[in-house]
Amino acid sequence: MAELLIKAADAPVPDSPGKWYGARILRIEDDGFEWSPNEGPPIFYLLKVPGVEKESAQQYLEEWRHNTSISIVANDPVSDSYRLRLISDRVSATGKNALVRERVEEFFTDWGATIVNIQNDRVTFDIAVFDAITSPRFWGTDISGAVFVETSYNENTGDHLVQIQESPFSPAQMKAAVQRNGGTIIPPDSFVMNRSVARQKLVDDINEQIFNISYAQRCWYITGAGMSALQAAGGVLTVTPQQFLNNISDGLSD
Amino acid sequence: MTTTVTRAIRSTAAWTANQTAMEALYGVGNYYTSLSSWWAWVQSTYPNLVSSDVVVVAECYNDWTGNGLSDGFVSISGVTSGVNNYPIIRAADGEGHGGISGAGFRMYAYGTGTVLNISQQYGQVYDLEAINTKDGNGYNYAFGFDTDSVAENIIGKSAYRAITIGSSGYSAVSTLRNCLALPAGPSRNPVGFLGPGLGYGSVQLDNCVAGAGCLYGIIGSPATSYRQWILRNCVVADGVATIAYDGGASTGSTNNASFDGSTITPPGANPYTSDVTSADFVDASSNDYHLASGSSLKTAGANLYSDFQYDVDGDEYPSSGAWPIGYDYVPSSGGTPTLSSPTVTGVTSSAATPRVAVTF
Repeated sequence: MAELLIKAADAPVPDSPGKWYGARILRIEDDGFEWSPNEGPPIFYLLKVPGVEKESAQQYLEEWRHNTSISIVANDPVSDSYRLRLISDRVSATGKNALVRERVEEFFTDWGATIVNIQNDRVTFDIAVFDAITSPRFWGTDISGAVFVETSYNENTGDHLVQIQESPFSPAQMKAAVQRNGGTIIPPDSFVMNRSVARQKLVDDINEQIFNISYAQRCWYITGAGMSALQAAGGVLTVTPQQFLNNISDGLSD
Repeated sequence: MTTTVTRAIRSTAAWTANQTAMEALYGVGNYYTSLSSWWAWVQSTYPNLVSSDVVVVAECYNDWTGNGLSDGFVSISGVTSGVNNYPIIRAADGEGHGGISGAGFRMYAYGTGTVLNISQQYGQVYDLEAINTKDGNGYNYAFGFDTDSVAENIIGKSAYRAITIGSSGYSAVSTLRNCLALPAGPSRNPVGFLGPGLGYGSVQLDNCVAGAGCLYGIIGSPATSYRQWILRNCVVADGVATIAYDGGASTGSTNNASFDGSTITPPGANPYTSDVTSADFVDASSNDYHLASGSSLKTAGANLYSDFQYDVDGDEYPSSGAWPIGYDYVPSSGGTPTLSSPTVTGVTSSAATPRVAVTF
């Protein structure tokens, strides 16, 4: 059994990912939960749904963020370069939460990648592993002044041996950056990175950075009809599980 | 004149059981059962803290057992704030953790997201603990901070990233003091404190502790003209970490320590060049990083009294002389006082003054 605390109307603040919009569910508690007197009309509505378990309803509290995956479109084994495609499954058909170049481009360029094409739900980009492992993001710092030379690349094993001929890094920085990214230091001034390890680091990092672009506090919302019923009932209403399901909507379907 | 509007975060049962005292403190019915509903109320009632000239305060009570208040992922952002008008979220007096996980008000969430994310500019947090209970498979954060935030005496616990400090302001400065990061549990690459990387904004960590479970203790940001990463009196205490400090440290960093300080010098001036061990702490295995009585860390820190004055459990740091490294100051227990022989002066006048000296 569950009770849902719902925002009655849009907060009078500028649109932003942190804004509480009306019809969004703030919290879900067990049936009979003792709310504060302030957690009700006029700022909140209370929807009681006997027969719905609190745990099963938690999905309606999902924040609206990107959930992305990256796949290989094409590759050139000789140069160990790739065309990759990132796709978000959290963009609505009408473009809500669309990927916007201004918000995401730096994540790719910091890794030494080049965006080829960007659409609402996808980014296609080119990357060479050598460029990735000599990028500011890999090293976690400004790399101007550094000179990297690829001593060897084994196409069969995927290992890149890179020498740092001119380095602004301390030995500790070099060790930390290489280890953090899954490589191996080869004293005195070189390191080995495997292409699959480097590629996975890049993919993980870009996915995480794009996840952290928040779009809205919640993805799901109560339908207009549902909100009207709540308002007509004075802000507190008990419904059946089916009535609840008939009046809850996923923002992704908009 | 700025008005402070304070509300309690309490369970209804606890509020009701102590209703007279609560109403004397906060007014009739002025409480919420979660931070998320409090913040939604703030957005609706004070959308512009500056024009209303208010500071809004949530005082949290230790009313929830286990991992604490289950409140989903709470994001504090969206209103207009300013340098004098901002939100404060803190534990009420006597309701904080005192530097020990699980000992005071705490909140938790399970899954991919940030348990308490302070994106509101100038937002402040004191004496709270946040726990992300999911394992490392996902982007699981405990605390997130952004843009001129202040956090003191917080404990963040997550199997992935415990405390992250982001960046969205060119000249923003966030300050964290006496904070403990516990990236515990099964995980991939757990990090204690994670800075804004290549982004904008500056961060200062003072007397912070990266504790059990870190693979990386404190990952910062390389210094530029628009990005400073200043570490003072910090310690990476966990001997299982692969790397204590990463990402660089700016000028002004000083007196930092780590489990491997004898072989890899901690960043900044006056580094502590011995290895920090579990013997330096009261009970590191139970996440209690108060300093043990015999620890050399007690007097290995720089004096920061002009910036802040109290440690994680409320002891006043010394106004002069050395500070500790880490979040705990251990006041001198003094000794057995000695009394001088009593003297009396001015016996020939009407203002005779008896005097005795007490020496510790």
